[in-house]
Amino acid sequence: MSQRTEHIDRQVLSNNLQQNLEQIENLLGNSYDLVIRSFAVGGNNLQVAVLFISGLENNEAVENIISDLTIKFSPTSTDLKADSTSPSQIFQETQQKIIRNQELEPVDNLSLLFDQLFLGDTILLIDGINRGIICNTKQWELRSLEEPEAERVIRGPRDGFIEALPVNTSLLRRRIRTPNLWIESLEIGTVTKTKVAIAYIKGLAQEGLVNEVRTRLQEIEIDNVIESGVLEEMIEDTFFTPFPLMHRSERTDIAMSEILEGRVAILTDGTPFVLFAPTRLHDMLQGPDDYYEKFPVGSFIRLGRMLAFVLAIFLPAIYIATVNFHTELIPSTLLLGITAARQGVPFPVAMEVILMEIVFEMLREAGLRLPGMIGPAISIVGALILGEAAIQANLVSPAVVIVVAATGIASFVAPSFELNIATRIIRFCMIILGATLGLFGVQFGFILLTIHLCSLRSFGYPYLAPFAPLIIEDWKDSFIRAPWWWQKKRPHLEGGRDPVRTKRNKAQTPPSVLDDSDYDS
Amino acid sequence: MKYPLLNFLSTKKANREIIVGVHKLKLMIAVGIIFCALLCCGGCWDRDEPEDQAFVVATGIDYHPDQELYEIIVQVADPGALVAEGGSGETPSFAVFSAKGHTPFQAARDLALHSTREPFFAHSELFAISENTARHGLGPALDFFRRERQIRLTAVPFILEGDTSITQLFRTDIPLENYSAEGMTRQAEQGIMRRAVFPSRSLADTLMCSNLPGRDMLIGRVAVEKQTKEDKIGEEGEALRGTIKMEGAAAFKEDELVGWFDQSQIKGWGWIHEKIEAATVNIKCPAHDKHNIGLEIYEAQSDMKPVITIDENANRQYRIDLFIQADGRIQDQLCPTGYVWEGDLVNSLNQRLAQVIKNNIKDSFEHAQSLGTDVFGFGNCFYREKYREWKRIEADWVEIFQNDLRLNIEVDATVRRAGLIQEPWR
Amino acid sequence: MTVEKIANRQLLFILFITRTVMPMSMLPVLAGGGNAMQDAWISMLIATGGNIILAAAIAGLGTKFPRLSIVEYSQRLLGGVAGRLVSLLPITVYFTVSAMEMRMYAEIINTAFLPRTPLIAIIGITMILATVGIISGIEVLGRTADFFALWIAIFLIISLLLPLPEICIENFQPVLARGLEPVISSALIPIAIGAQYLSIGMLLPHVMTPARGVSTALTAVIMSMTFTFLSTLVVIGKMSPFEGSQATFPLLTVFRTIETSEFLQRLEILLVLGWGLGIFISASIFLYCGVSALSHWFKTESYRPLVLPAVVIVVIISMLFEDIFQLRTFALTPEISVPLFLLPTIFVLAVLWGAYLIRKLLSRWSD
Repeated sequence: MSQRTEHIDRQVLSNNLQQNLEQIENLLGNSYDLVIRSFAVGGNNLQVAVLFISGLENNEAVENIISDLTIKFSPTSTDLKADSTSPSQIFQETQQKIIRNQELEPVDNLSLLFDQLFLGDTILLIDGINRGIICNTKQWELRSLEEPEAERVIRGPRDGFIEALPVNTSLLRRRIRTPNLWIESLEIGTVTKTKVAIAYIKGLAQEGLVNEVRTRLQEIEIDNVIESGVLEEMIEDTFFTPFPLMHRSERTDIAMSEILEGRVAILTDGTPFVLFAPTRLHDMLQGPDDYYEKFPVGSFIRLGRMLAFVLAIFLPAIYIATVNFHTELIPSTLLLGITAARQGVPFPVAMEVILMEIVFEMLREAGLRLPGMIGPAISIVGALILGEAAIQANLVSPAVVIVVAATGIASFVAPSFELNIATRIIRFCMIILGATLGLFGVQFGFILLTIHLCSLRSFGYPYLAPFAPLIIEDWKDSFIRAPWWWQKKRPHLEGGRDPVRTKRNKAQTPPSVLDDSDYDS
Repeated sequence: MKYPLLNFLSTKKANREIIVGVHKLKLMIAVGIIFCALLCCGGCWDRDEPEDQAFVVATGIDYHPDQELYEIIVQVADPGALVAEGGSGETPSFAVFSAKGHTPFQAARDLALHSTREPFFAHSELFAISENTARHGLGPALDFFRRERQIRLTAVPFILEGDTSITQLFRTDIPLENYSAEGMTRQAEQGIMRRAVFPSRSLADTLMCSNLPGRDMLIGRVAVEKQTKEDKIGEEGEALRGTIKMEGAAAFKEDELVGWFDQSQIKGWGWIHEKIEAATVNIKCPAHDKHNIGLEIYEAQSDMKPVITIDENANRQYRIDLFIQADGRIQDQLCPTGYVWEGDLVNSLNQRLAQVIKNNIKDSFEHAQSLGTDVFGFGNCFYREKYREWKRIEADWVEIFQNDLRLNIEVDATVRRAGLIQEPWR
Repeated sequence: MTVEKIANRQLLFILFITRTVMPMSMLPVLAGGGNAMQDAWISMLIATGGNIILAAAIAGLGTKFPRLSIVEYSQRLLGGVAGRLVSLLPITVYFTVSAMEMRMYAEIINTAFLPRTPLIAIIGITMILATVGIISGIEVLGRTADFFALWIAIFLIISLLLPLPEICIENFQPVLARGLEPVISSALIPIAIGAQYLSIGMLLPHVMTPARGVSTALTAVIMSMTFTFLSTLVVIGKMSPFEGSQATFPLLTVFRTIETSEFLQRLEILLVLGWGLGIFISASIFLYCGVSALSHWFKTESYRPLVLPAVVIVVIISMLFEDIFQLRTFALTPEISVPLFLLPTIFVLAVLWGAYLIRKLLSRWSD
């Protein structure tokens, strides 16, 4: 295939229209969606052909082009001289007066022509000219803007990105109306030729970061970019970690706030998921809800989320460790209850937990894939019945079912799905460690996990900021969500070039003068 | 690494060492994982399934002087029976095991020879010590308690008085409770503490007191109420049905039991060392000097000071000055006179209360003197405040305590409240 | 060769953690060979003074040679051969301290929590963590110290606050009854442990602003001595000094005697988990200092190839102690810990400072 591509890259248009059209048809294999409309223009009946891909074009615009041409160059037209009917003059007139596409000058290279053709542009070929004029007639069938299913919020805008890059960038542009929002585009993927755009705020995002992002993207050599996940894997700092090193989102408000904090957004055509570089661990634990609800509510939810995240990793391991090694920590009555429930269960506690975890994982994955109404029903019913039946059959004890269920629920609290998967992997390791050495095994796992997280960098920025390099002023946005009027500064590392969000930030106070006259009447 | 050169040159704060180190890091993590896997296969040495353990809820130590063996008796809760039937029915929800050995530790380890599960002492809230052990000497038992990691230092120790053996005590069927250890713990914590009838010291505090110079131990006393023939269960009377009485204390000299403090003598001790919250005192009414007035003392503080004076014969006189401050309220009154307004009548209430407290302490002190044990810690007071003197009299302190020590008590007692009525019922 | 950087604050946390965690667990000033008993807190005050002097001396010397480690500037001050010989002393201190701390931690866990686990397993596991940490680099260790400092501080504060209501002031009397001699001999042990500050010699080149090294070190000293002082107070007050001096791990025993609530019992494991985090940092840092010093000594480009052999050596050293009695005699008695730790430190410092001052005088003379 690459041979064909190289061959195509070398082809150019000739002066003969018929030859050009045959060449194009051959190269495309007489593709059924390639539409060629030839017509004659001018008194000399110069042949002109219009090519487009059906389904991608705006019919009206094409008709307009054709009618414009025929009207303009018809012998009865008044603003033409009689001798302006040579091909090059028609070409000149067309290009300068009728259709002027600033972005793309007329080209003769077939591969560039094909690039634009497949985006929905119309190619205008004139007999006798070896260049084709590219007219912008894109109209794509697109999904309507709706809230992303995987990232629902209670309060917040209900639109999300879709699969078309121009629409996505327009969403961003309309929301951030500063001229400093720079959007550069790249083309990645030798076969798919996917358009990728980098968006950042010039003067706020660190120059080194932007250069790094751009360089890494430019260095990618791959044949297809199906989804931004492919890009993510190609440009991330290290692959040897289950933790995601780039945040991704479908929501426009998340994209907006990330860009405004000094990060770089990478938008990919063909997928609604936008990547953000750099990222930190606790960005994954934040949800847009925190920012729109009131400060105590937002802080409370966020603290709950962090607690749930920690529980999701450590709870089964702590349960095993306590029951097997440190029974003195459990109150006596509870311990007697657990022991009583375990009479007759053949497996050791560790095996029980692992068994239930595996079953739970399978239920969860199955529930994701099943369509519509069946999916959630199977998960709920399956979990209930399986748990109940397993207890009755003396396969597991009730305490284990509760622990595993609580862990499962806690793991869904984090709004980021990729972090979910990472916690699952780590949870299994912790279970094994907890079953081996008790709470000291869990501590070993905790320390190992911390070293690993501390050594991670996302595009050079430490992953555990603001905890690992202790940046106290950034803590306003980590455990709690400080009120908006208190957040005077941007995050220290990324927003360092322009740290001050706003100079005058004070909370509202009640008005000092109340007009009492209202009460007297 | 997809971009080695790029990351070398352009990543912020990175340098060559870190990149190389990352490769080594991966190696190390792999080694670590292998090690952990070996660990799992080799053994989780300390892992015990909870159903393989017998959770001891009460521990007892007995001593047989004829064989010179210590015996450890444990009461183990039976989880299945507890949960299944709620403790009702014929099957008791506990079991009692015992084993003998030359030291308490050996006896404890030999328990496993008699029970199907390994005993686990961390949930034992009670330590019952038989009178034999106390008379022989508590030293070995206390040493075992301090060394063993499973022992819960917040447990309550007590001495079992009388003929009942510890086995009988543990097999006692107490009303309202599933097993006697639970009942006794609840009784000790809820009811008895702070009433100054039972020294509410945890094991830790007892151990601490035992080590202080010039102070002797005092451990609470427990007895099973007198039994009739019908109360004995089983053919040989191994089990009893009855209630347990917790009052009084056993006084020790060094680590040997020398005598008993009964309820009022313990109260005298309690004024000084107990955190009193609900002590009861009876006084005769000031109006007629005949009827009883029941007072509840809800707060008491004490302070002691050692004083050494030299009398005419150049002998040293040792004296302890005690200051007690007590607050109480009238809870019950049989006297027809009402104590309502401020005046002499109410003041005399206070004076009588002070007098009663003073007498109480004095009785207690004399009892301790007769036994020759300084449970009040007067010697410790000398040690703390008059160290040089103490160094000289340390060896003779017992005689000084028994014969020469004078006690000067000052009590400031106030009756502050009188309940919900002002005039008594006539 | 670019040098990895840690922030001053991270150095502060590192010094604080290494100096606080281990001594707080065995409380040598009370349970050690000196006989201070109820005056142990006065020993702590004296020891604070000694530690301040030590830390200021080491840090001060380090700030005079901002980008050089102690091995390098001792060679510069004393000449090649003498400098290398003198710098062998800190290297032995690093490895010995690392091995001893790990052994002590393993003893705590074995005695109080996991009696059947062999010591080699616990030491091996801590060593694995330390190895991973060191190979990741000092930056990662600095960030880990940043992260853990919060947790360790919380655990320590909880463990100090909970017994506070139950302290008896009488346990502190009679004050200074036995005279000053046991107080001073007990104070020597924490000062000997102050030899740990030699790690500043290896860590200061990595710090962002080495000029502020002295203030960083002094702040760390004061913070860590405050915690150790408070823990001494708590132990003396809650369990009398007689119990405290007899307990193997006094603070642990104090924590065991607290009854927090009816259903939360035996919380001493939280304290030990906090110590575990601190021990990891401590062992890693000293191992890092030792390995880094060795690499400077041999003038290798990177210290990473030396890590595995050093780890094995340290594990062997820590298993060399036969029993807890040897360990206690080694670590907690003034007769042994002073010559082992304090004298080499004082010797090194005296020699290096002497050489520095002589060079300054000479250069001023010749001007």
